[in-house]
Amino acid sequence: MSALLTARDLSVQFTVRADGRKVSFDAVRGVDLSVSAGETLGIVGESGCGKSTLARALMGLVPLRTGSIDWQERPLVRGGKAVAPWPRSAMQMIFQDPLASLNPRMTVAKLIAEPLTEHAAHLSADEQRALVIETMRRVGLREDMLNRYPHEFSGGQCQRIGIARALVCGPKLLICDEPVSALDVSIRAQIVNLLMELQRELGLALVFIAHDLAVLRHMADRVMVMYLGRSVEVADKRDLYERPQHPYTQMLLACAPVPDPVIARSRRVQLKSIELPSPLVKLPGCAFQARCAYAEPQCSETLPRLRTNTKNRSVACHLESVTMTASSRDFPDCP
Amino acid sequence: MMHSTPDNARSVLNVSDLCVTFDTPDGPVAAVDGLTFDLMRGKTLGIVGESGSGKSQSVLAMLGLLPAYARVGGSVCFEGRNLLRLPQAQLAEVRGRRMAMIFQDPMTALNPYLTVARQMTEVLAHHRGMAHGEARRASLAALDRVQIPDAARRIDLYPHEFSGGMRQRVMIAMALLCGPDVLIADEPTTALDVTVQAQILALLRSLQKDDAMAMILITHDLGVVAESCDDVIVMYAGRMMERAGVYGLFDGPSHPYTRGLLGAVPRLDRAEGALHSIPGVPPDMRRVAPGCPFAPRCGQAGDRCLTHVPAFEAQPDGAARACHVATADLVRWAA
Repeated sequence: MSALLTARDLSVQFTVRADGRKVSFDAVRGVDLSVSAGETLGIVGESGCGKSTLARALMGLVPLRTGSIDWQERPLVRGGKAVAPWPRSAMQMIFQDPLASLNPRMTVAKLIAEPLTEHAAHLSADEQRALVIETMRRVGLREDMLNRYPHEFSGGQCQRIGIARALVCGPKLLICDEPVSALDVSIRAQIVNLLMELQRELGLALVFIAHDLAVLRHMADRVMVMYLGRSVEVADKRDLYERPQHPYTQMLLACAPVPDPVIARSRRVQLKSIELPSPLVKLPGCAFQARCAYAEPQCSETLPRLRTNTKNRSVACHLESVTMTASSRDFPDCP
Repeated sequence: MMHSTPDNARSVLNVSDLCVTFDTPDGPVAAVDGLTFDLMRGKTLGIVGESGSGKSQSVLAMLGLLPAYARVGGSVCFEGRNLLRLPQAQLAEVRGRRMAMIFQDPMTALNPYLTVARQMTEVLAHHRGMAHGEARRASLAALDRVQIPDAARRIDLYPHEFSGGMRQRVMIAMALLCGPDVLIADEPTTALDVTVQAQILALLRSLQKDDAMAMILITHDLGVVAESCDDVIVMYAGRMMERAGVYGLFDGPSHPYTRGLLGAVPRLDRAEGALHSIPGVPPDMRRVAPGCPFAPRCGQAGDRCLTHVPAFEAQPDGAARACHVATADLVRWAA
């Protein structure tokens, strides 16, 4: 399978005001990734790990400090600067808050047709309308909803409208930024199933961002785990869930709620909290060292590079004894 | 055979046929209809449901925190007194002191203009008549108890200077200041990352154990229920669908809605693939059809389900449910 999107060494820098002076920090730090046609890359991490910023960087919505991006093996970004027009009709995005991402003053018909006026201006009004109706049917909306406004819909249906907007131009890649996090359980399952169905029918590639490892277990082919702006582990789904290598991945899996009282009660949790370090404080070594149960002196001295240790499997950790022997049975205490 | 009831099996709160109706421009809306339960000392009752199921409105009603246009019926008995009939002054004495509440979003529940010390000592001065020095010492001890590192310094900080998890710990410390008999937690971990969620849930369990405090935990997350609750009420459209012990509920849910919900949750430990989704959307509470509120989405609904509301009845195994379909006829449960 050829790579659809390849990104190397992406960094995004933000400047914030802290204690009255300006401080710069990298929200995304040197991330590499690639997505092949038809596959789902899951990206998971806690709040503030840079996963949404990475999504926006891939869409060309935030300026890059460093990095290069190729789209279908043609250069799109070099040295952090765009060198070709962004393939917007081929790359679309779905957002977390479905209602906030829709203009409340536009009808469903206008909302879904809006991308066409930019990317398919050659279509006649009738052709546009036919395409809008076909897309609505595909995402499970009815034609009689065409003239309604977003506030008349539930969260799940608004998310369907958002998906229709993203699909109407016939994209090859959808970047989904927590598209089901705000939805109720029964509706979440509907949208997850819809996205998987659309992917099968249309051969879409998905970059699916989530804070919920369980959702990715259902959807993703490969999963990338982010911590404080860096990619700390990338693996095929089965490997990641059955043999997580990075101590942070192990911790995330150990803490994820399981809807089974017997399993949920068998785990031990430390009450003492170690807080997520501020991204503004630059420390040498591994960003995860303060929360890591296995940290050794070298972890506070040198930054572990993301290295590929087996086929399709990369991990950024110094401790081979930890990464190579872990199984899902012996996670450390959480966290 | 007569024997004395063990102390920890004593009911501390008895809620009977609690109803909440809002008068709206579209007519009366029954947000909660017929909620009934006994809360036992030292136990945690989970109330689980999706948005609009009435779970938050029920506990606000119990504490007399609903706006004046809400009509509340039924009874909420605490130590032999019906809280719904209690004069404001006496209710205020119960609230905060004997029954305390923590909310989903600590940032909006804490006063951003006041230091943590000021907000905590105020509670003790009001309910316990403590002098300043004594109240400050007690507050500090409370922060230590919820494992806030460096509490002696941080007690003088403002809420925004804490991380989300630490703010939730502050709110828990405040709620426990007067040693309440009942703690009501409304989605206490929904806004938190999984690692912090695991810590907060473990903290609540350990605090509860120390004091044999009873807890009502409102959540939409079945993983949280599995981990922390002893008994569970499943609500849908303001009504109780099922009430059961936590092991029984997850082992063999006896209501089609509960079965649907459990099937819709993506799981870390199960085979991937399509999720079981519940078709349709929750009812518009302004136009509730006759019959069982879940009938329009239920795969097993018969004619009777569309016309007659099923009674909430006890089952031989001690659980209770509201469904016309016999338990033996329910579609096989395959978790």
